[in-house]
Parts: sequence; structure tokens; C-alpha cells
Amino acid sequence: MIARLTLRDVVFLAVVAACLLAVSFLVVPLVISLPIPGIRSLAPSPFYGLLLAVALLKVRQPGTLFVVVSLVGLVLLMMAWVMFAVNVIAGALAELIVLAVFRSYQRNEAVLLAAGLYMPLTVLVSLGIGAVVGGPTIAQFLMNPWLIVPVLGATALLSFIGAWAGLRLGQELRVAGVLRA
Amino acid sequence: MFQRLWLASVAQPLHPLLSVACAAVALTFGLLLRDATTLLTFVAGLGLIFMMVGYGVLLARIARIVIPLAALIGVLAALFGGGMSGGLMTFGRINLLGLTTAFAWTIDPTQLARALRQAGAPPLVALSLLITVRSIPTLVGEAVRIRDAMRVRGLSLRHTPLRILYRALVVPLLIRVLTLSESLALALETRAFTGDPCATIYRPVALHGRDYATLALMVILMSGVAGVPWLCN
Repeated sequence: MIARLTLRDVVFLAVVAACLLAVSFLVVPLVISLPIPGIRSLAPSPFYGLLLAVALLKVRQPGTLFVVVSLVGLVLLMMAWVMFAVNVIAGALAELIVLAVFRSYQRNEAVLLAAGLYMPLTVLVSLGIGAVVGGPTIAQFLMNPWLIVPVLGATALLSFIGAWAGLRLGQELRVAGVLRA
Repeated sequence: MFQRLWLASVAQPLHPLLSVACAAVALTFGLLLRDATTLLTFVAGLGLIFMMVGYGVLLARIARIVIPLAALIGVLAALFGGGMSGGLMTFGRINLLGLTTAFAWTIDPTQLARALRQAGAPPLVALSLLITVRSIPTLVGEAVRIRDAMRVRGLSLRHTPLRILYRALVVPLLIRVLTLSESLALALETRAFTGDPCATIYRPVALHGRDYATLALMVILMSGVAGVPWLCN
């Protein structure tokens, strides 16, 4: 997959991955002490939506989203494989859903869906992994719909708002000649 | 910057791939433990190994942040239906996560990229991982510079409407991201980097005695933690 990308694409996606990590490192510590499942995905979701949309606007290749989130995951793998697994599984799922619906990233709707879908999927995957490895007590706590639905809804909303802003920004940058596919 | 600070507190970091493997194995093993006493014993043992291999200063720094956080979340878990045992398990797991991240803080990205290449990873994967890790401080620096430029113009992050913040912070930052990646790609191309898998490695990364000792201590600890309750039963 990475072989189809040019060196310029790979470098750009790596810098976007660094941007996503920088956002996480700045935002997540502010909310990490709140005992709400999924809050670590909720807080940075608009930034993730925005940056992923810009990345997909520049590199409209199948696999772009997966490469970016895998790079984020690879850095997080140094800390905990769970975070790597969450990123990679959610990235693969988002990519598969978008490619099943749109076949490619040539349409802006595909970019919006991929960038907006990724963060809500990380909430679901992390809750799933948490329930599996955490044991019955934690599974019962995590699978409470009163906790999941508001967090999931808020994450999806913020993520899609971020992706929409990313699309607008990408179009502006393209008109200005800064963003070239 | 932060990583350099953490890295400086360890005289001789372990082999990068061994660090990643140790973190993964320790976390998996810890998550599989279902008894609070066993988990806390394992975490304490892991801390002891850290001190034995020269990670004591780093451990103290991490403990200052992680232990209060783990205690807070542990108390909340105990109050929200987990009971004493659930609270202790949460406390132990967060401490375990903190300890395993210590391995990450000691990994030099360049060494990791070289070790990955030695292990047979494609050059583009190693390169992109290296760029990702190395770009984080640069991007944070860029964000700080843009924020300073905003302050000069009389704008603050707290009291500026989101619409203006988007124009004053997000747009310039993204333009910097794009120009940074363009110049980096150009620099690589002018140095004839093609991602050729046959390219040689400048300085190969080797395993040392400390790495083998850490591996042996980890095996002993995990065997002991898993074996003692089994023998008692």
C-alpha cells in the first residue's frame, strides 16, 4: 500500500501524523483525569477530523487514512499496543466502509465520511478492547448505553464538524495554490 | 524536547526494539492478571527491574505523575461499583501503563529507525516513523511561534472567537505543515533517497549485555508472578 505512494506523499502523511500526535499530546492530558469512557477520543476529535480531511484532499489514494493512523499507532505502540490496535483497527474499518461506499477518495463526500468516521470508530474499538481485556466488572461499566451513546454522538458530531472545516480549508488552500494534489 | 529530557535521565537506553517488545509483553501480561495482589506485585517487580537497569531517575519522574493519577482514578473506580478490589486493579493497571510508557521515553527515534531497517522493515516505513517522531517538537514550536505572532497583534487564545482563531492559528499552521513537508521531501530527493531496500545502514544497532540481562529479569519476573500462585494452589 505504502509502495503506491510517492516519497512526497509519504513525507506529507508522516508530518500530518506528527500533527495528530502533537494535538493528542496537548489535548488529551487536559481531559485524561475525567472518568468518562471515550473522553480521550472526544477531546481531539475536531482536530483529527480537520487534519485527516486535509491529508485526504492532498493524497486521494486508497490507503491514505490507514497509513496516517498507522503511523500514529506505531508511535503509540512504543507506549502501549492497545493504542496501536485501536488506531489500526479503527483506521482499517473507516477505510473499508468508505471504499465500500465510494470506491475511491475522488469525491469530497468520501473524504468527509472517512475523516468524520475515524474518531467515532476509535471510541467503539477502544470500548470493545477495554471490555475484552478489562474483565467482567469493567465490561459491565463500559457497555452502559447511557455512557456510550452521548460520548459516541458528541465524538461523531465534533469529528464531522472538524472534517467539514478541513474540506473548506482544503478548498481555500487549493485556490491559494498551497495545496496541490 | 520532552523526549530529550527523559532520554537524558537514562545513561544507556536499552535496544529500541527490545524496549518496544518489553513494553508490549509487560502490558499484555499485566492486563491478563485478574488478581489485584498479583498485579501490584508484578508492577513492583517491574519497577525494581527498571532500577536495576539504570532507569531509576526516570522511574522517579514517572512515579510523581502516574501514582497520584492512578490513585485518583482507582478511588473513583472503587466508588463507582468496582469495590476495593476493582479500585486496586485500576490503580495497578494505570501504574503498569505508566511504567510501560517509560520504555517509550527512552527510545531514540534514529536508533529505532535503524533497528527497524536491520529487522527488515521497508525503508519508507522506517523513514516515515522517524519523520513523525522528529516532527512533533518542530510542529509544537511552529504553533508556539504562531501563538506569539497572535499575541503581538493583540489576540489571545482564550478571548478570541473561534472563527478568528481558525484564521489566525489553524490556517497558518496548516500552511507551515505543507511547506515543511514539501521542503523535507525536496531535501530527501536531492540526497537521492529513493526508498531502496538494498541501502546500507549507517550505524547498525547491536544488542548488549544489559539488554540480555533485562530480558532475563523480565522472564524471571513473569514466570515468578505466574508460577507462584499456581504452585500454591
